[in-house]
Amino acid sequence: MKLKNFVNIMKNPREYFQKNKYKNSDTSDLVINAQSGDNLAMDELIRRYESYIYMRLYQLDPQNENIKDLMQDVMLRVARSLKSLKNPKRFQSWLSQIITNIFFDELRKKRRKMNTVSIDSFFSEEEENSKNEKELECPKDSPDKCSEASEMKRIIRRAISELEEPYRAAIVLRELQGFSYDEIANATGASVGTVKSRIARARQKLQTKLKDYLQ
Amino acid sequence: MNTECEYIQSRMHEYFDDELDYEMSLRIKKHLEHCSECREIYEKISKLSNLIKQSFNSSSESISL
Ligand SMILES: [Zn+2]
Repeated sequence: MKLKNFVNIMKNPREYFQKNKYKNSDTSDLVINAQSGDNLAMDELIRRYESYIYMRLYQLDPQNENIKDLMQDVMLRVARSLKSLKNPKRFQSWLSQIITNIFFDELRKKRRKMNTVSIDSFFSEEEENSKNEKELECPKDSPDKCSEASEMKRIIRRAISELEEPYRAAIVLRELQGFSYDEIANATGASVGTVKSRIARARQKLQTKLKDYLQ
Repeated sequence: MNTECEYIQSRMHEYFDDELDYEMSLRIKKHLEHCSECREIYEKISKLSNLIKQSFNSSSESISL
């Protein structure tokens, strides 16, 4: 045992063991314990999936300024409705469904608020060029980090983020979250036929934009 | 392009996304074995799919919270 750990244990043994109680538990155990009302298990579960939640929301809309708020909403809903999850082994896909639902609920709210403005304006060029752009740029002080591969990734991500919302949502849910056409239709409130054509159209648009990388 | 190719290509995305029933998938699979034109279209979809997945799957380039 490392000295630092030992010192921590001696300082407050009860707190230390409580905090680390679930550190090595697998997700199913965490779910089961959290379902029976153990807050430590719930904390650990949420801590473990925090970056997953962020990544999913980011993929759905890199330009979204409310990602942190949405993350809070997701975590809150997980805490509130975890008891309804019947099979603990399916936690991740259950969580994925919650993330998607919350994302599209928010989008529908935005649409209603600005129902005279086209949805494309949410992802206007102005926004495009603002802060998120910087995030994807190579750091100037360490140009060697900016390899050809990460440059390509950056270009691909930008091409996806430049798609109009219905196309981006369809292709992200399909390619990155592995949703079926049926599941995408449910999440986005479109028909399966519409989903089908959005996916085909999204791919055509991306193939045009990324033709240099698809030789 | 013959009508069979036209039809196959209209279902290519569904085929790639595993959205077709067994019989239909088999028909497309067989077609792709001997038709290079349709196969090229399929491979393009597959390549794009890989690029998309790779572009978000990075440990070196993490996105800050
Ligand atoms: Zn053909």
